[in-house]
Amino acid sequence: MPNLAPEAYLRPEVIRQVQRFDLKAKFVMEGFLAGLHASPFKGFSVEFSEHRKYVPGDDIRSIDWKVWSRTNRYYVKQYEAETNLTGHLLVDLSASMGYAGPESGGLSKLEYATYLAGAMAYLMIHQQDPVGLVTFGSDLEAYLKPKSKPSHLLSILRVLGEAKPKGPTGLAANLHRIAEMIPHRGLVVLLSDMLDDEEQVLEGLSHLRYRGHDAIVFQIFASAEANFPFEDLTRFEDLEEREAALTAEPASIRAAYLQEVRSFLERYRLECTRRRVDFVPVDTSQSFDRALMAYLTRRCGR
Amino acid sequence: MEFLTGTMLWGLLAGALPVAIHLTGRAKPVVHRFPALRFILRSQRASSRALRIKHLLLLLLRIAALALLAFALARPLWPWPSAAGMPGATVRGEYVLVLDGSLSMAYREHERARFDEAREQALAFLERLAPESRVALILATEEAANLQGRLTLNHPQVRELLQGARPTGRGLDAGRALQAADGIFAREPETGLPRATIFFTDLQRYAMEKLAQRAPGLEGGAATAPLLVVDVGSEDARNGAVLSARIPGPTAAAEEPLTVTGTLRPVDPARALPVDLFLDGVKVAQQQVDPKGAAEVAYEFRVPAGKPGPHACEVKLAQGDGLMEDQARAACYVAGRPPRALLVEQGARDSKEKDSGFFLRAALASPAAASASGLAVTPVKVEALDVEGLAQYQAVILADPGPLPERAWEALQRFVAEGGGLFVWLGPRADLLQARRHAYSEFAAHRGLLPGRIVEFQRLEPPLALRVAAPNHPLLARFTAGVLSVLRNVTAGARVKVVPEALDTLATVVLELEDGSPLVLEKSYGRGRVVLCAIGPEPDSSALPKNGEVFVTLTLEATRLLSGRGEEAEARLGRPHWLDLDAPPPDGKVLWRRPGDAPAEVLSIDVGERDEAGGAKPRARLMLPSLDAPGIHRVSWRPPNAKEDRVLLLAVNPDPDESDLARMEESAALAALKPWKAERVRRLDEARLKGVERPAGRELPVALLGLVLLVLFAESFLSNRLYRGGDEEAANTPS
Repeated sequence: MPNLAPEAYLRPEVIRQVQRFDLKAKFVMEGFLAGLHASPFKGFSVEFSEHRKYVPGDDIRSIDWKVWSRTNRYYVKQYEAETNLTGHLLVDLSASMGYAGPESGGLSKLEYATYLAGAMAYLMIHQQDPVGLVTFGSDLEAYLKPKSKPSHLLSILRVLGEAKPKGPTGLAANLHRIAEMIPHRGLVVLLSDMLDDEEQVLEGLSHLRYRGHDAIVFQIFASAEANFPFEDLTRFEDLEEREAALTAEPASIRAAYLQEVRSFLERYRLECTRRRVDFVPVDTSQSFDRALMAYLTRRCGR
Repeated sequence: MEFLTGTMLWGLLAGALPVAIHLTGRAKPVVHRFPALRFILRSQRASSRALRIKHLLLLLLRIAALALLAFALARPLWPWPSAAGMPGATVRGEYVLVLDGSLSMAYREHERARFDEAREQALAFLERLAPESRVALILATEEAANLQGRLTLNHPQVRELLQGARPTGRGLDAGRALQAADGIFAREPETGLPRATIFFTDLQRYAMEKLAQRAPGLEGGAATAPLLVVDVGSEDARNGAVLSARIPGPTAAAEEPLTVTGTLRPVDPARALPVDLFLDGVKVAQQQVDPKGAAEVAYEFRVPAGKPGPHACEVKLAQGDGLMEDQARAACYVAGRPPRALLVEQGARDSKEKDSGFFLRAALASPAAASASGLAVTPVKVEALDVEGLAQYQAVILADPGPLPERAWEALQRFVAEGGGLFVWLGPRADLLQARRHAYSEFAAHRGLLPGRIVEFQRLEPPLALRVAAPNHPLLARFTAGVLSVLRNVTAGARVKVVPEALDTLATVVLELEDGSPLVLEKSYGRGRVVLCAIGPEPDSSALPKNGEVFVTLTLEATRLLSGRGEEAEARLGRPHWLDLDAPPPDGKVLWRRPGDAPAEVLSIDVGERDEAGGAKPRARLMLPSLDAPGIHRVSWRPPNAKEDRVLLLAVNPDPDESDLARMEESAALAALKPWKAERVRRLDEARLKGVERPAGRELPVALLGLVLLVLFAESFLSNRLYRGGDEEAANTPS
């Protein structure tokens, strides 16, 4: 790998070239934090709890200079709310998440979701927030309880690294299940293409909210899904084999398709807003910082 | 609805092309596994029905565009009448229109001439011609006048020519006209369009009989194009006519009775026919001519010939009929001295001697010569010459008479001054002493009667040849190339030396010897004329008698000139006419007045004409353009140094055969036209030209092509909107 600036790893096409999954997540997180220094981020909370050692990526404004003057070491102030934020990363492993689009070299939605999840896990663990992981396809696949130990990060990254897309989506059902499963309220980060029955998915999100969880939904589309760049006559087959195949002249349906996509996203945006759920649509050609910034904004708001 | 090129309707099958392309030309789809299929399906559900309709509409539009294109190429006709009320421009082909321009076509039936009927039908036919049709026009008379000699697309020009065409009053040579039509077709390369000759005629018997006699001998085999005969004649046409009007000769004795004879064809053979005689436009006599059932009947008028000068008489039917041009016949004559000449000779010393008188009598007094010259020649001995009776003669010929008394010379001088002609042959008897004594010289030199001074009689050793000194002299006007070539071989062994007076501008040397001495001289004197021949016809004087054609021609021409008959001319209706003016006006202007009230026309004399031998022989020649009106044509001009105009009258008459409107039976007429595979119709607009004429109606290619373009535009627009536009909508085909 050439010696790149940390921000470069926010670009999916760059991070894809990194072999080890844990490094991928780490590079994304570091790239994000490197870029964050210029941001007008003010701080997390007001109620001081404890000090912890400064780690790169922490805002230097949060360094407690008094401690430094006494000990000559860098410590940052920790606040009460932060310590109690438990993160839950929910990653959709349905077959549709395996879609990368017609361009070779593109990231699949699942890859994009796992890198993002990994980076967020890194971020959370480094902020000493407990973070858990739930992967699910049609059924629950893996569940790691939230912990803040650095070793827990490795477990999360291993599960994410081994995730493979399979089977139809069971998003709505799994959301209900997860809502019941998670004992303490915390921040639920859902990484999914949301291609399930919209009504039921929204009910699942309502369930999470009902259980007191904050929720961020990263709706992930492949670039091809978002832009529909097809030209030749194409027989479209359903990845999850739930719908009949369809042969179409892409040019002739592009407009209607994009309109449907816009309606779909708009509906989620409206419904999520109504449920006070953050809805962040991303596509796999976008850099990771957009998603991470959304998370951080949410985290900051607590 | 009918179509001009119906075969193009097969192009409608091209309408199946979009369907076939739609069915077979669909590309094999690329299979792509796609997660967001729900959106595709949902969008398809949303617009499926509308799209299906639009797609179908597009397919239909494409089919319609192709079908309309085929439809437009098939050139459909909409059954609209044209502005003229005739069917639209529907006839495609190449046509030669032949209009019978003979006299019989001027016959008026139902207040309209046959020619007008033919012209109207031809004009209507032109209206029906499609723009791509080509047409030529021939006016058929005894000659074929190619009014439009090549097939042309310029229909308005042909229409203009048609409107300007008139019947000529001449006869008809149908064979020549139809061969001319074939010639036009033969000169033009084939274009694939059907061809036909359309002959507008009245099938007059006389013309068709001429054709029937000629048809079997037609050269070139079968005609190149079929013939459609448009018959504008009728079976019951009856036409009275004055077939002829004759006077005894072109000259008549002034104030003496003149007999005008001729034949008539009555309109009704059972009824008497009033006939009028007009002299110089004034009705002078009328008589009832009873045909007594005959088809033709003779008439005779006797009227005074009138004062000296040119006169015109016309015989007219008092009751006209449908063909006015043949209701009258005209004849012209010059009233003056009787057509007689006096040959004055001395008489031979013995009966075996052949002197000038002998040869001149032989040349002029024989019945044949009298017929040729139109003059009755009376020989008289010089002793018996009655100088008081010269007025009874048009010309006096002195055949080397020797001495004449002065009284005789004075009488001759008066005679010439009053318009007589004097032809003087000099010979051995005109020796110097005799001449002086008997006033030759005096009358020549001092009184100016003779065109030169007589010097002496001379023998020539060796003999000298003759040559022409004034090629354009009227005396030589009728000398043919053959006669002129013989003339150059004539030699003279003796002559009387004559010296022209240098100041005498009226004298002309016509022939001379090769040494340049004058031999034949001519001079105008008063109203008359003198010709002096300084060589005798005797064998010991010249070789003239051995070259009889020169001698006779010279003698007759001189006599004719002297008798004032050089202006005799035969004019024919419908043809141009040439006149040789022996005393042309210096300014070259001649006044021509046609019959009727038409204003006089000023003509210029053509002096560029050459003689038959090809030599330079300019003549004062006047051409009268086509004499298109029957009757009396009057030509007048002012000769040089003259105080009065000279007037020449021309009687122009139609061909009597052409006024016979009897028709040939249809079968016989068609048989005569057999080489042309003729078909006869009464009206051209009723005729359906086989394989030529297309159905009636107005063609709509422009509108249809416009529609096609509109459809193509709509198709293109819709197609763009469906597939390529900014706010595209979908059209798809469910598998």
